[in-house]
Amino acid sequence: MFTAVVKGSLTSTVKHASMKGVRLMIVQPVDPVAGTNSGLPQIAADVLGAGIGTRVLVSSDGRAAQDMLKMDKFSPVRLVITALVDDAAKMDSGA
Amino acid sequence: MYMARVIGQVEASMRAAGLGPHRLVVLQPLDFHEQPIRWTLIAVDLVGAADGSLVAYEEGREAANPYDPPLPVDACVVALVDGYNYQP
Repeated sequence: MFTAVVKGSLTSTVKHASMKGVRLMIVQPVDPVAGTNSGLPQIAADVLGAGIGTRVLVSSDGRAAQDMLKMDKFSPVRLVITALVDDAAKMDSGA
Repeated sequence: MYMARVIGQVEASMRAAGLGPHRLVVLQPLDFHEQPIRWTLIAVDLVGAADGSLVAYEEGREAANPYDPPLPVDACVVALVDGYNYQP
């Protein structure tokens, strides 16, 4: 999984049946602690209602996608927003 | 899932049996300024994407999921993009 910031959304009417009613959000992968961009913007399925600007956890595994979106095994969706991140901090090594 | 533009099609009469008659399209992945990113790739066209159209494609094992039995593919066009709203 990786952390990302939601940067936009995408609309599509002609798509695989399993994606009906699923929001498609544009997510910019960011470093969980530093918050710097750490990858290319991608499209993730969202059922948690992540708004633009929110920091999220994205899973790149179809199993998670199918469970979250209650879809059968025929869904091609792989990237799904699995959590809205409140905070992410590194353990301070001095502890 | 990345966004891409369909820039062509692959004609392949001699193909793996599992591939069946499905249309194979050439994709140029794009970022959300519609600038090219990554590398061009071939994907099976699940939704009937016309040449030049903006699509979203998925990679990995999940790309074979929509087919029964699964196709020997690792990239699949899953959606036609009507529009997008991107605020970098």
